[in-house]
Amino acid sequence: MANVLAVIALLSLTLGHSSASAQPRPDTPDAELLFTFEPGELVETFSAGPITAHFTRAGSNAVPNTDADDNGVPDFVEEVASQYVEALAFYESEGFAAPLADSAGGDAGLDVYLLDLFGSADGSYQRDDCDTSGCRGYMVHENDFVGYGYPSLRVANRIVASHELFHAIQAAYAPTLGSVFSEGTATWATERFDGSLRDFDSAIGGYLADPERPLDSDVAGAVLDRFAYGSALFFRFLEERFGAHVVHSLVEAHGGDASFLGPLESVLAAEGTSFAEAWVEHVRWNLWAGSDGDGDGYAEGPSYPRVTPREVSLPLVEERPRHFHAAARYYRVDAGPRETIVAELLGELEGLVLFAGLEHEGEQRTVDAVEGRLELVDAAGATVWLVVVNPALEGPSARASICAGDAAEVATCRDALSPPELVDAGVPVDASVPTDDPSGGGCGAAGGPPSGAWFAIGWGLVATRRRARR
Amino acid sequence: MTRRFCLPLLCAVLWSGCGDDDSTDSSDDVADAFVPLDEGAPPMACDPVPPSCVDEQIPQLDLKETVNAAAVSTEPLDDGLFRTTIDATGGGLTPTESYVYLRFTDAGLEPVAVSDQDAFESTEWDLAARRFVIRLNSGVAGPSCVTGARTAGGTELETLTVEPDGLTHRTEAYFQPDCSFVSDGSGIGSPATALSSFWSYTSCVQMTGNVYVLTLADGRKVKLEVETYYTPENQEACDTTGSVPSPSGSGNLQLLWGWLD
Repeated sequence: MANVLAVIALLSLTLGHSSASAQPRPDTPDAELLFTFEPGELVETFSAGPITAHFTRAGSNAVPNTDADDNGVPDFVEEVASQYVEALAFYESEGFAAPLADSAGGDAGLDVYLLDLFGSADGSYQRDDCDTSGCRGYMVHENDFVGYGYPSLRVANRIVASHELFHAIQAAYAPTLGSVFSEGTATWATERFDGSLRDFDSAIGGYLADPERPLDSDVAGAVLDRFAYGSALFFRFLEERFGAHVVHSLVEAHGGDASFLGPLESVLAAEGTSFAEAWVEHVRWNLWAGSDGDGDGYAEGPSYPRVTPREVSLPLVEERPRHFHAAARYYRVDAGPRETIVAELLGELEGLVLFAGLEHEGEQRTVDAVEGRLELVDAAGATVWLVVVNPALEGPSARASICAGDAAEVATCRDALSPPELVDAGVPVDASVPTDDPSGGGCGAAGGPPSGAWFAIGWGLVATRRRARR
Repeated sequence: MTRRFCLPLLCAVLWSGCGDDDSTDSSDDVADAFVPLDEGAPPMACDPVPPSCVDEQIPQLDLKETVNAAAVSTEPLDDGLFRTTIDATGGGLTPTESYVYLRFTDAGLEPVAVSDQDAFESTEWDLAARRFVIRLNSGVAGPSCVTGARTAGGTELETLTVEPDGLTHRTEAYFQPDCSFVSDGSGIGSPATALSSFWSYTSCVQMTGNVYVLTLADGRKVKLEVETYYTPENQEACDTTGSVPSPSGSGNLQLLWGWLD
């Protein structure tokens, strides 16, 4: 009973329509929003500390009506509010700024609208307006989670509340963040809030499935971008390797830049390292995620999914693939009978890093390349991973080719892929023969072939690459 | 766990990003070349131009390396019209497959077996479709010079016989010369393609009924209207009620088109 009284003392329940909103909100009549209360639905509010939940008891957006403590407030609504309150307290204890005071609509507190999202989403943070101090907005939260597959309503509410609230916190720092940074850090934050929720664990597979995508590249359009949520793994890496304060500093430093990698470079410099160094280490940790690893890696790495490689066979001939910045290409091959595996990068290495992992009879080891070349000994029968990392912060993709196999196979690959020696074409002009053409009558310029020659060479390369891919 | 935050604003589809200029700068790879036309293909009236911003497009448009062999069928209609149905589902709401690449022929709109990434080097295709995004082979999308122009509102495709005067033809410019992305302004964040005004969005993808004139690389002209994105009956429901039943059959495009004089 004491608990009930305490709750009643802390919380207020208001019956009737919510206050009118300056900005359209889901309870604004005729609001042109994707998710709104239906006309005729009686919208009530329930406040817990700074959180105000907006809900209805009947209609398509109705919340579960169970009221076990018989205090007049649906238990679901109370739990939603309490999860937001708890998450807010946690994030504040972590040093994050509170969401900006809501003056744009709804109630004075942080507004949470409980709506049927039809399975298309389970929550959302929507911005009302922004100024130099940041953005204000409100949360939308699924009304009953029917058909969503969460293990319990408590888990569902706890995940969604901690995730959406972190978006509100992000909004206090910068008007735009990009979906990878926004979703990745929000998923990371939920894991910090309560690691037992398993939201992080179920998300990171989407990131490990697409290692060739640049870390800071958002996908255009209305897609469920599993990479963005799963990028929480990168922020987990930063936390485990350098400390949670690095992610906190990055949120503060972001400032709405187009890419968060520039601010991250500054944050890492304060730690005495660089993005390039950190990225190579992250890629290495990811190689051994889902396995016992080579001694370094995530604290809970063995329980993670494995990174998705390109399944290839030896000899490997990959001509001028695109190695995107802040990304990596993983190849997995069976060594077969080869005792020694050689791998080489050819062409302009442009800062690319090559390393290999070997798995054989319970042994796992990593071998680094020197100047784009490595040798794996005692490889027969092993599963070999070849990893090409582009640790650049930005810039065009690097186009180095890769050869792998035994020494003879690599030599053959190298000969096939090495650009032919370029020589001047045409017939030398006899100095004694007068000519009207100052360019030399069509001969190639001394500095290289005419553009048509480049065109032909290029076409040959493209044709070869296609054969390799298909 | 699934959380999506694609709550769109109600905005008019912007055309400001669809300039007429080919973005020829910052070509990322001088060694790339183009797939030559088949012997039977009509001659090009333009020189192929390497598309720019390929490095940006591949991850941001989620472009794939393998060919999408999805079904495409064309039904000849009266008065020289064709109705082409394209399985542009792309593997689902989060695409796992390339766009479907197509070229206009006298026999219909035929698929071209090219992947997203190889399409940057191919002049064989005219139009590519995946979900509600249609790209033309020009500008940043490809090396050819296919252009699209929206006709005046109320234009009837069936009665259009010649290109109306004063149309503004557009090449694809959904990435700016500095390779920054140009959104269509719908609030969904999809690319501002030359034909992106064939749909609008509130709570479902509604057809605008806009009629376009395309100029192909050989100079021939096509009139085109996108009729459906969902199944025909669900498209009708979306267009008239603003909501669509589930399952909606989304991603199955139906195009009505014909040659212009």
